[in-house]
Amino acid sequence: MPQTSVRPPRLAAWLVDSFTPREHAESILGDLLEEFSDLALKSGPALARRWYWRQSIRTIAQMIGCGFRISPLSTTSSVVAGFLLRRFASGLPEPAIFAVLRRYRLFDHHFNAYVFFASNGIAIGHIIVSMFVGLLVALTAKGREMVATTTLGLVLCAMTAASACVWVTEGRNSFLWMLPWNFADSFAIVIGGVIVRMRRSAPTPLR
Amino acid sequence: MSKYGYVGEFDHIASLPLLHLGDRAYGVRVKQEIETRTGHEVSVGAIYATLDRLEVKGYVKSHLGEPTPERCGRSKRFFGSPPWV
Repeated sequence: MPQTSVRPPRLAAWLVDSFTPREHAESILGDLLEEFSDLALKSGPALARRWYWRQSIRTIAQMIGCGFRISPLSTTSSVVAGFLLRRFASGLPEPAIFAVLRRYRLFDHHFNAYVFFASNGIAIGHIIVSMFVGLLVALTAKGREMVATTTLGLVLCAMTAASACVWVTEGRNSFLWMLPWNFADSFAIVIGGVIVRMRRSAPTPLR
Repeated sequence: MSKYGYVGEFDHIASLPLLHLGDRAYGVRVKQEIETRTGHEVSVGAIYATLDRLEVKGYVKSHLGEPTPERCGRSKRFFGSPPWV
């Protein structure tokens, strides 16, 4: 088979590798590369890259469905547990940050720092908590890390979008500034899944 | 109850190339056969998901081949029909 020096989009390949069960990732990526190489030689690299992205997105969608089909109880319970844990843990950053601010009397000594931590600091704390929740969900999902964390992230994004619609219809536009932070929370959950997936995919060092 | 279970339309479409291709049935070949005969583009993920499901039901068996340099050292997964018992 003639080979081309054109390489498939690295992000698309990485996404397929992340979402595909480890036992199939090697052969699926190999098949995609083989067809990509043929297509790049026949029709050019631009068309081949578009084909690769299309195939990657459809494959990832299939693998998410597979994740629930193969391990429905494990995957669903990870998502539900992650949702409940986040609901419980989301109330923790605010009292913790204010306890530290009171302890070190930042209001008296460093007012600008106090304002920063009392506003953006709490939002950052939520993101850190969300990433921690994503790590736990990925650890319990057992091979379906990206499926579970992405599902949880999408559920939370949908709830955020629904809340935004309610705020707008009720005229409470002043809450809309929270939207980027809320979406960042959902993204942080997926980042937690990525961290666990990359850790599990890393080759084990020889002893 | 038999382990084989219900087989859907796409399960049939995905498994018929295995009979035609024999030992050469792996992801790319199966995909090309389906696309040639149906006239529709199919995703690699759909083929693996379907054949994996058929393997669990006992209709299909698979094994990993040797890594090849054309695929940057990645192996092919070959599919085939097991003998009926």
